Amino acid sequence: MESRDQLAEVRNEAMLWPIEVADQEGDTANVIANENAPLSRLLHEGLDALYGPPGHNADDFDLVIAGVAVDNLGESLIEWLRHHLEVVITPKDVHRG
Amino acid sequence: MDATLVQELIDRDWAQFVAQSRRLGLGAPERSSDRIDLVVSPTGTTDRFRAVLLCDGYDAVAPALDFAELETGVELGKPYWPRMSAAPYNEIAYAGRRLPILCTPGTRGYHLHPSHHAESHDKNIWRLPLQADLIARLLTRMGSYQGCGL
Repeated sequence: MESRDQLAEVRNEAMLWPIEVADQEGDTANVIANENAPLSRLLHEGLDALYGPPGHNADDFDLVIAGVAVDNLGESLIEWLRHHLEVVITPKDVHRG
Repeated sequence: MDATLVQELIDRDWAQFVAQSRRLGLGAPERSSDRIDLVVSPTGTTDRFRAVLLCDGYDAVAPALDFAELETGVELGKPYWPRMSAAPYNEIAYAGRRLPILCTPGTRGYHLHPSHHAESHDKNIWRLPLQADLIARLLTRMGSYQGCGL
């Protein structure tokens, strides 16, 4: 049986998740994300993984999880990714004729 | 149009399109030759719509996005489109009818519209995964849902 200290240590250890990120064209890359990190970090790391650093301006992109463009990128990963280990990074705007 | 090449190009892009549709919450597309159907719902409603990508000529022209009667998928056109408050709707005369369009590059209607006929674009802008992105964008990020029909 694990001691209380051991359990606490386990609980304090952040989980790392393999996340598949896709761009607008459906090309993909993989990042390892800390579940306690804000989604803004996933957006930055996803852009770097897809396009290589120095990355694009993250302010120009939406992070889409299960069809939802995340409004608050300060939320942590764990609130969104428990069941969705894939995201799409797509430009906020499209050209309109 | 080269019918064999069209099928080969759709085959080439199909797996990526299915994956992108899943990631974007659009569900599972159904394909019948060069037509692709997706049953979708805009944000904020349980109303369902049948999005249709008509990919005839996919070797040379962008897919035509249209919406069809939900149950049968036979009737196409304005009555079956979701009305989103900020979507760039327009229409063109096409194949003997008025085709509703989203006036953005990568849609057949945009490239056939007289205002954009002379523009030159890379064919990659109309590949199927980008069509999934466009449909998802229409349903979730082009304003609020206003009802059925344009």
